[in-house]
Amino acid sequence: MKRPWIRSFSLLVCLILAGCGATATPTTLPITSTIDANAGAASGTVTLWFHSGQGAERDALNATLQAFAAKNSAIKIEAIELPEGAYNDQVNAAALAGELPCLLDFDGPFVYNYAWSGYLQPLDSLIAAEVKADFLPSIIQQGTYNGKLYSLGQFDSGLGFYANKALLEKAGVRIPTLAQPWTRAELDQALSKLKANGLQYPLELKMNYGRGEWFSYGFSPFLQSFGGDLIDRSNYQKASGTLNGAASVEAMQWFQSLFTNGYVNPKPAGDTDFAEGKAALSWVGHWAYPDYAKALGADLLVLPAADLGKGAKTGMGSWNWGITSKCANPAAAAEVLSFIVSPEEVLRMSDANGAVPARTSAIAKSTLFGDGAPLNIYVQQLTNGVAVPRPITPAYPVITSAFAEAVDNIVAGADVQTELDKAAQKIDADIEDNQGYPVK
Amino acid sequence: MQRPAIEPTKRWQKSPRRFGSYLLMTIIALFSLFPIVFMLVTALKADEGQILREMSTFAAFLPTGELSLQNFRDVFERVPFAQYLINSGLIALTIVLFGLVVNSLIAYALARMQFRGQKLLLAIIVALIIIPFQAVAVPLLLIVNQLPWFDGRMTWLDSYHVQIIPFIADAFSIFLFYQFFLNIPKDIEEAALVDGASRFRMYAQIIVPLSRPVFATVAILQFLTHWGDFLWPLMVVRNPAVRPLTVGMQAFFGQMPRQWGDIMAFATMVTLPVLIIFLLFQKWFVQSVASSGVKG
Repeated sequence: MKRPWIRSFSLLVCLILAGCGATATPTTLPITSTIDANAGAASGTVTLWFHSGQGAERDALNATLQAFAAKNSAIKIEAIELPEGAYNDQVNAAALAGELPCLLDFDGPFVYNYAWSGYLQPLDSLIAAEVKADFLPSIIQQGTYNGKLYSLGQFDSGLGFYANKALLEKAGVRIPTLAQPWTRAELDQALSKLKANGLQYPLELKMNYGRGEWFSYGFSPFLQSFGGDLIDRSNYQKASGTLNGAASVEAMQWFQSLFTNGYVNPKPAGDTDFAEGKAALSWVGHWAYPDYAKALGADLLVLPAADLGKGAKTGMGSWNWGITSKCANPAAAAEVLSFIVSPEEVLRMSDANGAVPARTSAIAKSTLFGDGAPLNIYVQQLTNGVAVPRPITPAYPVITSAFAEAVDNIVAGADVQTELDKAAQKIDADIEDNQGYPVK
Repeated sequence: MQRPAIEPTKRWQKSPRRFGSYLLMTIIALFSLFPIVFMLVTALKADEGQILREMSTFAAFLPTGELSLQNFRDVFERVPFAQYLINSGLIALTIVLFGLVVNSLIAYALARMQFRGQKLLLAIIVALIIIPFQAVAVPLLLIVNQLPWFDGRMTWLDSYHVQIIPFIADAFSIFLFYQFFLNIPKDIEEAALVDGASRFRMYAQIIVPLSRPVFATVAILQFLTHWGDFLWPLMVVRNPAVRPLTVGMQAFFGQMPRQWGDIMAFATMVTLPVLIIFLLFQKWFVQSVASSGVKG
C-alpha cells in the first residue's frame, strides 16, 4: 500500500535533525569575526559581544579587532555582534542562563546593575595604574561601583546647546561661555526673544527620540541644575524627597513651561528643525554635530549647559566594556580590553562616531576635541565637574524608566507633583523589593 | 414576465442603510490598510529627511519625492537578511509540520481512544491555553540551557532546535483538532475497524483526509505566530547564523536618529512572505477560520 506522505515526513525528520545537529557547531559569518594573532603574554580564546551601533562604529571596532590580530597571535577572539535594539535584554537573558561571554560592551549606567548582580569582575588588578590615570575622570567615575572599577569605555558623551549664531544675533541674545553660562532668566528671555522674532518653536529638545534613555540622559541635568535629582545620592536608598522634592518639582514645572509657552514642539515631525533653521537652539549630544556642522557651517555654535540656579549641569556616560565574572581567561580578556581602549584605538573610534575620546592622550590628538577644537567644550564640561553621572546604583534601570514615564506625562500636561510622586514611589518600591540593593 | 432590473442608484435609494454600512466598511478597511501602505511607501522613499518631514502628514501615505530601492539595498548591506529569512522560514515551517502531526495525533487519541486519565489530560491541555508564554519563558530558558544535544553540547542555546522543539506541542492546536475530530461521525471508523484497520491507519486514511480545514487552520495560525516570534529567540539566540528576522531587525533600533526608510524596507520584506502565503491560501484560511470558529 502506498503511503507517500509517511515516507516524505520521515525524510523531512531526518533532514531537519541533520540540520539542527549541524547548526550546533559555531558558524562563522562575515560579522562574526574570529581573529588569530601573533604574540602576547596571555593566550587562549576570548569570546566578545558588542552592540551593532552605527555602521562607522561597527567598522571601527572590526578594524580594532583586526589590528589586535595582527599584533597578537596567542589570543583568539570570537566576536559576536548583537542587534542594539535588543542588546540589554539579550545580555540579561544570557546572564540568567550563565552564558555571558568573557568581554562585552554595555550602555554606561547599566554597569552598576551588572556589577551588583555579579555578572562583572573588577578590573583594578587587570589594568595598569598608569593606563587608568590617562582616562577622563568621568569614565572612571562611570565604571566605578562600590569602590571598584568594573568598566572602561573608548569614549564619553557630550551634551549641551547647539545654537544658530545668526538667529541669536538677530534676536540680540548673548553668546554664553563655560565661565559665564546662561542663567535661567537669561535662557527664558532668550527663548521669548527668539519666539518674538518669528520662530514658532525656538528650542529643539529632540522629543522625536521618544520616551527612553534620552529623557533621563538629556533632561535629568535640568533637575540637577535646579538643585534636585533623580535619587538621594548620599546612600541611593530613596527617591522620595529628592525626585519629588521642591527643587525637582520646580525644575519640571519650568520644563513643562517650555512646552506651554510654545518654546518647544512636543511632537516634532522630524529631526531636522534646527538644521533647517526653524529652531535657534538644540539641546542634544555630540552625535548631532556632523549633521549640524554640514547644515549650518560657520553659523553653528556649540554652547555650554545653562546654570538654572545651582550651577550648570550636563550629562555624561556612554557605552563601555567589562569582563564577566565567569570568564575563564581574564588575563587574555584584559589584554584585549587594554588594546581596545589604547589611545590609537580610542582615537579610531572617536573619529568614526564623533564621541569624546575617553583618554586625555587621545583627546590631545583629536581634531574635534583637542584644545581649541570645535567640540572641546564637551571635554571641559566632563573635566570641570559640569557633567553629572547618572545615579550609581543597581536601581538605575528602574529610575530611568520611571523618570522617562514622568517626563512623557509632564510634557503631555500632567500635574508635575503627581507625576514625580508616582515616579519616586516606583523607584522606592524597587529598592525596597531588593532590600536596598545591599553590597554583596 | 420579465422583472425590471433595479438600477444601482435605485438600490441605494431603497436601502440607504446599505450605503451607510458599505461606507463604514470601506473606512474600516482603509484604516486597516493604512499601516501597510505607509510601510510600503516609506520603504521606497530614498530621502530620510523627507520621511521625517512627512511622518505626521497625509503625504506619508503617498509615493512622492525620489523613489528608489536604496533602502532595500541598505538592509542587505547592514545585516545578513537572506540568512535571517532562511532561519525564520525554516523555524516556522518546521514547527508547523511537526506540530500538525504531533498535535493531531494527541487530539485524535483524546477524541477517540478510551484510557485512564483521558478527561484529566484534556482539562490540563485546555487549562494550558490560558497560560501566556511570557509566564513560562524564564523557567523554560533555564531548562533548555541544561539539556544535552546529539553533538555533545550540554545546552540547547544558540541553535535551531531550541527555537523549534518547545513549540511543536501546542495546547491550542490540540484543542482545535480535538473539537474538529469530535464532529466526525464514528461510523466510518467503525466500518474500518471491522475490516481490521489499525488505529493509526484509521487516523491516517480516514481522519486526516476528512480534516483538511482544521489542518489548514492550525498550519496558518501556527505559521503566523512563529514567523513573528520575538521574545523567545531574543532570549536563546546570540549567534547570527541561527538568528531569526524579528531579532535581526533590532539592529535598526539603536542609536538616534533612526533610519525609518531602512526599517520599513526590512518590515516590508518580513511582511511580504506572510502576505503571499495569505493570498495563496486565502480560500482555505477564510473557510477554516469560519468552520472552526476561531477569531483572530
